[in-house]
Amino acid sequence: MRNYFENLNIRVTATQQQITDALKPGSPALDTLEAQHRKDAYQVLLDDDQRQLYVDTVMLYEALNTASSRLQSNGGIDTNRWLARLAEFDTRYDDILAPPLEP
Amino acid sequence: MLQLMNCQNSAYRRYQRSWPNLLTGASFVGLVVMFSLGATAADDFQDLDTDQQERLMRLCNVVQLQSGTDAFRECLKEQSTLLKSTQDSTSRALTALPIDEQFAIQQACNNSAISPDNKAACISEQIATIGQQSLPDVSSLSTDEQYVVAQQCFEAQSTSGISAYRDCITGAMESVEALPAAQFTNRTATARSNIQLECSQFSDDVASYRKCVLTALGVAFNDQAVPDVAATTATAQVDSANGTSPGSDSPRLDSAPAVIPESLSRTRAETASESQPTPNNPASVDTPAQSPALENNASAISEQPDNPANTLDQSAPAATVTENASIMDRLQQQLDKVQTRVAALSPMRLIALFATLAVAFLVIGLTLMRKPVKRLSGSRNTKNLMAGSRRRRKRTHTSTATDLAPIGIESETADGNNSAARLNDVTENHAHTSIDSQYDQRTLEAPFELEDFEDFDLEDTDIDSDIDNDTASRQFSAWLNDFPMHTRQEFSIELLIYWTAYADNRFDPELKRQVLLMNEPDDRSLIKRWAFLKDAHALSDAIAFLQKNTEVEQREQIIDLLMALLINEQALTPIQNNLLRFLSDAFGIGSDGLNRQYKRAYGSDIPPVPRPDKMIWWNTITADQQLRWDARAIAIQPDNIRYRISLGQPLKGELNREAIVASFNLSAQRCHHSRVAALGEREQALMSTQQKKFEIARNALLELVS
Repeated sequence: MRNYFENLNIRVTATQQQITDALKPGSPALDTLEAQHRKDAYQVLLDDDQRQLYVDTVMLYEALNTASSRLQSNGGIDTNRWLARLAEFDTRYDDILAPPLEP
Repeated sequence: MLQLMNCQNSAYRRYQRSWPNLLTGASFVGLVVMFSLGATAADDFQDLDTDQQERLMRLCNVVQLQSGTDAFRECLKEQSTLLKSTQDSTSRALTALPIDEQFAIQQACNNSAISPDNKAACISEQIATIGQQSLPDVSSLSTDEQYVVAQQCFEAQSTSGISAYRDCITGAMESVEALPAAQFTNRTATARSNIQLECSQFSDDVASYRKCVLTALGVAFNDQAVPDVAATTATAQVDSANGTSPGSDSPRLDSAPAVIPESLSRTRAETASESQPTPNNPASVDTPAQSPALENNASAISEQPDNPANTLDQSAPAATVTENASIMDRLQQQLDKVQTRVAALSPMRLIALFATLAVAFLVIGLTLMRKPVKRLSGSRNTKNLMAGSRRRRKRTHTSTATDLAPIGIESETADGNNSAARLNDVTENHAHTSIDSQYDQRTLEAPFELEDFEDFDLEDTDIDSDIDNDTASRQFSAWLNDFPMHTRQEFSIELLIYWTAYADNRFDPELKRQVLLMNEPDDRSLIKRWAFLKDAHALSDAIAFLQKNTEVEQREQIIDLLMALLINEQALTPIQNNLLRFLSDAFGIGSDGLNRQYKRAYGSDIPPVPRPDKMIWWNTITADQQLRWDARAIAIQPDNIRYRISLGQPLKGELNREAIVASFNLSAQRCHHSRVAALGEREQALMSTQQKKFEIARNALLELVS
């Protein structure tokens, strides 16, 4: 799960206008996204229904990210590859060495 | 046949006086004589029920006394065939009608003034009244409008017979012919739901409803071209009452749900596509772009989707439609309607009404007198929301079934009905601020006054960000440790339930506000707070406790419990999917184990990991699927739709009895208390209650099929 809000350097609560500005061609943050991710971000963030579900999922991932870091010492398994998913989601954690997810 | 019976009435009465003893032996005589009837006539006779057989024999005994055994046999034969053919043709004609019209006929003929003997005649008479009348076609209306029509014509349907019912529907259809269709294109599902909900509350008829929607959408229309629907409907009902409405002298004033035409079962998701401009309806292409002032109002609705109270006020365009937008007018209409209905009540009903009101006021008065009112501090202290019941230390917590109710159970007690489809009322309860009876009670007892809310705007206060997660987490761990072991387990499971239920953000914002504002929340309200705040620390603490203190079997059953309580068939939301996968890994069950459990519960593999960040994933999602995920939109659907969703049935079209039964069987197995036998009594009670809700859904759907 990619975190476009983090990629575009905007808040989850950003307004439609702020999102539109961040997605404008030439926006410095936008240049960091690959072409396909840029297309995805356009569609997901500029559609009200899609953005709502996406925002809910982003917030869930943030919570799971925190919970995961606290649970690592408590055992469990990673058959759903949460480490990789959360690493993709939160790119600030450079120290998490997780195998990359398939595209 | 009826005429024949009448002709022979006097002879029969003479016979009854003279030969009472023979009556007791009529059955025996009839059976004996039946052997001498022809095969077909005997079949016809046998097909009749016992009462009808005895009645015919009594009837023909008169003939026997007067004309002998041959005449008796002939009489039985003729009467049986006649009665059977009448019944068959009536029955065929009745069942050929849509179910809502069958209901209208049954209501008209289900009157105590009509003897059982005359019921068939009444049904035939009702069917005859519609003779050449064409079946009203409501398919051009959107789903929500069809529902309004059903409500609008319910009184005609339930009291005045089929002809009046059809007239009412036809009148309703004519009333909106001149109005453009409402287009919800470019509106979010939430904004659409808000408009529909708001307008349904303020509209008694479909014309008013559509005008309200058009007003909210900012679409101009010619109000003068719309006929007076109230007059049309009233005329239809009066005509019918004067003509073919047996027993309609006392109109039903209760608000029982109407039997909705099958065509009304189309989904709200179709509304947008249905509302596309049509060649016959050029006005429907009136776009907001053509009326900028209206667009501003419409966008105001979209930007504040969760505040239905704003929608009408903000959406009233200054131009063309001020008359429709006047809330005062609508209130006046409502008041007039109430006055009319009260005036029409019988003395006994009036007494009952006043008694009920008196008791209600008495209870409210006593409650207000008994309760000391505390005010919130003005400091808006949201930092300490988790502190509340800390003084209740080291006590033993005892659960009972009535004390339970985090999920679903409460909605049934709060609403009184519609329970099966409101399985996820915890997340979807949009209009009823109550989440459960327990919650309702505490809301009433909340130590604040209403005016406290007026200057306490939580929208301005970012409660979530104000909460210090570390503090909250420490409080959860410490709080949990205050309880005995079995209660810790119970509360940890409960936190997972609420966390999963609220993670979809489908709860009523007012509910969150009230739970967070409680000064002295009880244990369960505290757990709700952690869930509302999406407290990751509390979540991980609960998981960690269960990792350490439960067996694998118990952890599997926790997953079973979450699925049974929160997830309908074919309605696993992306959030729930992610959470189940996370929990299954944390519990050591893994992806394969979760899939096995999911397949056992729903009969199919769990959907793959959702990727709402990718277009390719969105392209696989249908409108039907999105509606099933949207618990708040589901909550405002008619019962019929919600029951379909509850049992994973198609949202439109014919229902299939076998599919309903199969789905119910799955849900019954899923909710069987033995599935959580390794957990506590509370979890088992929750499962049993959930199962009852599926039973209600099944019964309602099977009734529709039959």
